[in-house]
Amino acid sequence: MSEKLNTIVGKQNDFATRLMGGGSVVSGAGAGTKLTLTPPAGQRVRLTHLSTGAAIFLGDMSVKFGSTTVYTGNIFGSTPDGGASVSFSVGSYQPYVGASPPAGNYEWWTGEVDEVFTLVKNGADPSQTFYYGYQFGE
Amino acid sequence: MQKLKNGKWEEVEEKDLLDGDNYRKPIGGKMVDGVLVGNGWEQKTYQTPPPDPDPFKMVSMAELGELLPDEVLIELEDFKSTNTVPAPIRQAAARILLRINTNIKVDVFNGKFTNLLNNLVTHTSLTIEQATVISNTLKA
Repeated sequence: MSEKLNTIVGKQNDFATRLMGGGSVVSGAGAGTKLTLTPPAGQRVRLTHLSTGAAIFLGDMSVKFGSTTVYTGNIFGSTPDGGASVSFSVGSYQPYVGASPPAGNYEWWTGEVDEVFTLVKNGADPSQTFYYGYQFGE
Repeated sequence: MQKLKNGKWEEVEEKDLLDGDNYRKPIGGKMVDGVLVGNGWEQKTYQTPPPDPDPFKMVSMAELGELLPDEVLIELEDFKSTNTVPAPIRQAAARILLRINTNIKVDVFNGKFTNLLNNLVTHTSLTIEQATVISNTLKA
C-alpha cells in the first residue's frame, strides 16, 4: 500500500475490535456522570448501542468523548426522531409507534485514541434504565 | 471490581456496593507477574434496580383527566400467565378495551400509575390515547 493511500485509510476509516462489552444502568434521579468507558492505552471507544426500553424517555443527557460533548439530548430508544424533540439512540432501534422516522438514531459513535467516553445526566429527570454496548479497538 | 472511596479505588465485591457508589471493573488486559496490565475500564454508579411493575391488562378506558383519590384499587389480570402479546383491539377511535380482574393496589400520586401505563404500552404494543380507573374503591 502506498504511503499516500495508507494515510487515507487511517484510523478514522478503520476500526479493529479488540474487546466488547455492554449492559444496563439505572440512571437514578440526580444529575452526574452515569457511565464511563476508558479504553486500554492506544485504543478507542466505539459506542455501538445506547437506548432505553420501549416508550421510556430519559431526558437531558450528554454524550462526551474526552472533553468534547458530541451530543446533548434525550435518550428515547423506541422513538429516536431527532428534530425538535432532540430524541436519540445509538445502534439498532426497536420498532416505534410514532409517526416520525428514526432520524435521531445513529449507527455508532467512535472516539479518538485514548479518549474516555462519558455519559452525563444533566438534570433531575426521573430515574430510568438505559442500555449500552461498546467496543474497544484500534 | 473496584469502588471509589475517599478518592481512591478499592477492591470490592458487587454485594458490597450501595446506591450511589462509583465503581468500575477492568475490561481486557492480561496478567503480567500477577498484575493486570493493558486493560480498559467500565465505570458507573451503582443503583438498586427498581422492581418490575406489575403487568396487567385493562378492559375499559375513559378520560385520564378524571380526578383520582389518594388510593385507588384497580382490578388487574396476571398478564404473565398468557405469555403472548394480544393483538390490538380497537373498538372505536381513541378507545381500547382490555380485561381487568385481579386486585393490585396502585399509588397514583407517586408516578407508579404512569409506570403502569408505560408497562401496558410495553407488553401490548398499543398506544394509549385515553385511560381511566374502572374501580376506585378506597381501602384502609
